[in-house]
Amino acid sequence: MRRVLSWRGCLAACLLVTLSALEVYCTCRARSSAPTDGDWRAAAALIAQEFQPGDLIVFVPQWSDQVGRKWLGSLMSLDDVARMDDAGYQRTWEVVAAVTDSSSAGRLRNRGQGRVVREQQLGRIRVRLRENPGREVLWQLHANAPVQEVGYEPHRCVRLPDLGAGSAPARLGFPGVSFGTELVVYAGLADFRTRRENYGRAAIRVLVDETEVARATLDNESGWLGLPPVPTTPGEHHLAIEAEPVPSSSGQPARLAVCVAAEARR
Amino acid sequence: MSQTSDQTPDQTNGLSTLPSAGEEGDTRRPRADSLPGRRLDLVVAGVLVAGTTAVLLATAPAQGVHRDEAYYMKAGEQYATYYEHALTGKLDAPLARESIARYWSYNSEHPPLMKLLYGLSWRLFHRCDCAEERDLHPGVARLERGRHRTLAFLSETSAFRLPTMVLFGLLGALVYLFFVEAFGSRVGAAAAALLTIAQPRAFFHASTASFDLPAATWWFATSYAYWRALEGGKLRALATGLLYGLFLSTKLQSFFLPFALGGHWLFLAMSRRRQKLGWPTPAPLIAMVVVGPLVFAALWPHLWHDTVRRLGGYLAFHWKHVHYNFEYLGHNFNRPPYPWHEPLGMLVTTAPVILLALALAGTALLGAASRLEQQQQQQRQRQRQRRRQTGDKLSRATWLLILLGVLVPMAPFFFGRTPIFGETKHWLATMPHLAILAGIAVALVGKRLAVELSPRPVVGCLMGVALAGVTAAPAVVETMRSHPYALSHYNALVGGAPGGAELGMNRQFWGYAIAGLLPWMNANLPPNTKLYLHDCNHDAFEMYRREHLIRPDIVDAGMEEPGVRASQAALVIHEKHFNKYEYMIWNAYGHVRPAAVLVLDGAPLVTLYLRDDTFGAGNLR
Repeated sequence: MRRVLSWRGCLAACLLVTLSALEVYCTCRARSSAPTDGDWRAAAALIAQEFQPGDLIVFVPQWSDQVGRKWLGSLMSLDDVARMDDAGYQRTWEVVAAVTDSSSAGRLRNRGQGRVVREQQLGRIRVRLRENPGREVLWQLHANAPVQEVGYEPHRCVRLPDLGAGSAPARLGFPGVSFGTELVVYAGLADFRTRRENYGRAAIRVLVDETEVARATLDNESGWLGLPPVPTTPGEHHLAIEAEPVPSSSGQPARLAVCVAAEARR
Repeated sequence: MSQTSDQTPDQTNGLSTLPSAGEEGDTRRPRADSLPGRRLDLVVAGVLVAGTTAVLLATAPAQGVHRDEAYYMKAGEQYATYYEHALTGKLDAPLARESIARYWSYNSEHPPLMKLLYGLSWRLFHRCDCAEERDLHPGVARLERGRHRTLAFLSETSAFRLPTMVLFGLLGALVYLFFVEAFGSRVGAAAAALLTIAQPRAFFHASTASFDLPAATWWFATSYAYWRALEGGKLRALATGLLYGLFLSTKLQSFFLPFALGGHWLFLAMSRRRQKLGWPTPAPLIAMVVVGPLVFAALWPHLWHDTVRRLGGYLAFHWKHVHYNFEYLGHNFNRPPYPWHEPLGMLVTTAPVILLALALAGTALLGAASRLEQQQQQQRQRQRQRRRQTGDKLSRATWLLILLGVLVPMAPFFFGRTPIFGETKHWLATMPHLAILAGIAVALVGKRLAVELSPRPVVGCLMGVALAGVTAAPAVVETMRSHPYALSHYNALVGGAPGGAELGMNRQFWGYAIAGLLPWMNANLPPNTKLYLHDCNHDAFEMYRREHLIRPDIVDAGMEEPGVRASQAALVIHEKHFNKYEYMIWNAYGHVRPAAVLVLDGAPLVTLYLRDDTFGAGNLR
């Protein structure tokens, strides 16, 4: 006896075809969403034309950084890519590669500080220029220091002598530093291999004229940690940064590679 | 072939599905259990093996040589040379400790089977210029003059990789045959086989001379043999033991198969006891325990001396294995505890979505699948009666065997303390079982569509092909588009490679992707460039030189920071924990501008810096 086609069978087959087509579409769209060389070339030309010394260029999403630097790296220095933070830059170019996820797009809109003064879509890249009052940097602890990996990010910073269990505090001292109105300090544990082999915590203290003005505790998950900004009195002061291991309950020895950066700003 | 009046309706043509009880079948088409049907299935299986191997041979040359592959190729060349020298009289006392050590002490942390097969395949099929490049070959295998006599139709890399390719095709074929035998549906079988093969990451591993894909094949083959042996037959039990011996000789995933099969057997035993029936035959498990280790020992000359100590060394190496770095959901893990859900997270984000969806549906429909299996088993019993054969007539709890095949390979990683290297490769055996579950859903969809009631066989056949094709299409597309960088592939749920980067998932591992930059380097690097290879190891680099894929004047600058400082060009292979090497290059070269960046759908895979920053820009892909 011939059976009429079951509606459940048809529904299941339609769902299968729809799922199949949708997956093919999404797979193809992932590639077609990526910016082309032409898009990058246009973005690079635009920025190069309007670039001013002291401008910062950032790429969003951050994982597209290598591609962005290939096109715009001649306008970027080690100081820029390994900066302590963005505050010293008055103009920031945001180069936003297309993303397909709306939540990422939401993060992109809120990406930077400062107001947007210029915005242009170039294919699948959006170029945005933000202006920010910025801060004048009077002194940098980490100027010309090698770029270190801290929290899997690049930062120029100065490594204190490695801390071991029970070791004396490590200290960096700087007499006669010209302070402005604010002192900003960042710190972290450098080198993923050292972090993997050593699990511990370090206490960081910042002293101005031997008075503690800021402190923080670093561990393997802290990444690049900004200590609370310290209001300062303009003029010359003595700055010291100390680090010492925090005793571990397990008693396990740890070798901690503390890396610090600091700026006196106005 | 006539039907007796007490038979259930016939199973219908090979590319349609089973009728429900009470429906008429079409006796014009070969039944899945008939001789013409069996021949058809063997032909399909053969096509799967040959076709898969052919596709892999065509596509694999674009895929770079990964770190471990280079070691296994080197080992394979040595192991094959051992047998060649032993059989041709060039090796005195081939069974002596010193003779064996000269060839077999290298890479003794892994069993020998696949390495030996790689070496034998290389020896038989490679195009030889070994004497001219003798310095690039392992010492004991060097050819001083002349050429190896070979069939000379493959490059060295493809010749090494051929056994894995064949085993991948065999895996697809075995999935097909198992499905037809268990459930009688060729549509479902075809879908399951295609979904086994069209998986981006499995396809990647199938294009390499490494062990994880073969381990998945041996897992499935042994399970299939065990399942068949439950119906009885000494030869089937022996086959199970032999296959398990081959699995033991491949990789340590073999240690976990007894948990799956033993657990299945215990379930069968308990359920039969509840029904006051006899025990299931233990013969296949006994064969695994007895024959398996004998095969393992026979195939590994390294164990022929100091057996206990060396076996202990092999086990200890893996018991105390180092922990690797891998990025998962934005966090770099390199020590336990690891998130228990890591294998599930990787499965859900890397496997084709259609495979996942259909596997879920198939799991929910296992009850219906069991009824298909019962019908199939009744047919087989009638077949055996006609042939006057005996055999176990009882249910084999196939559904449980499939589910155990999904879960047990992954299970060690749920505890959060097992070293995780990269991604899905350690539990690739899960994937064909998921494909079978997906095939069950497809078979039942076909059944619902009443394909078998089509008035003409050709229409039914075409509809079956269409159903299998629609099922496999997205998986095939993903596999093609991810090749040859499938370790960076993430599925449509995540948004491809860019989505994986956005989620903070493992970008890649094994250092193979630099192959995509070789043409650029050959065209643009200055003469006599010292190249910092980063995570591409020296042995892989030497294989590129053997294959003339890299200019001979481009040399390895060395490792770590001294290598970077000595280099004029430097590679960075992007994984989160490797970021420090990019910064090392910046410090050494004084600039941050890459010369070239290899991307997959916009996500950077490998970056090349030149110390001299004076050339034009341009993406490679």
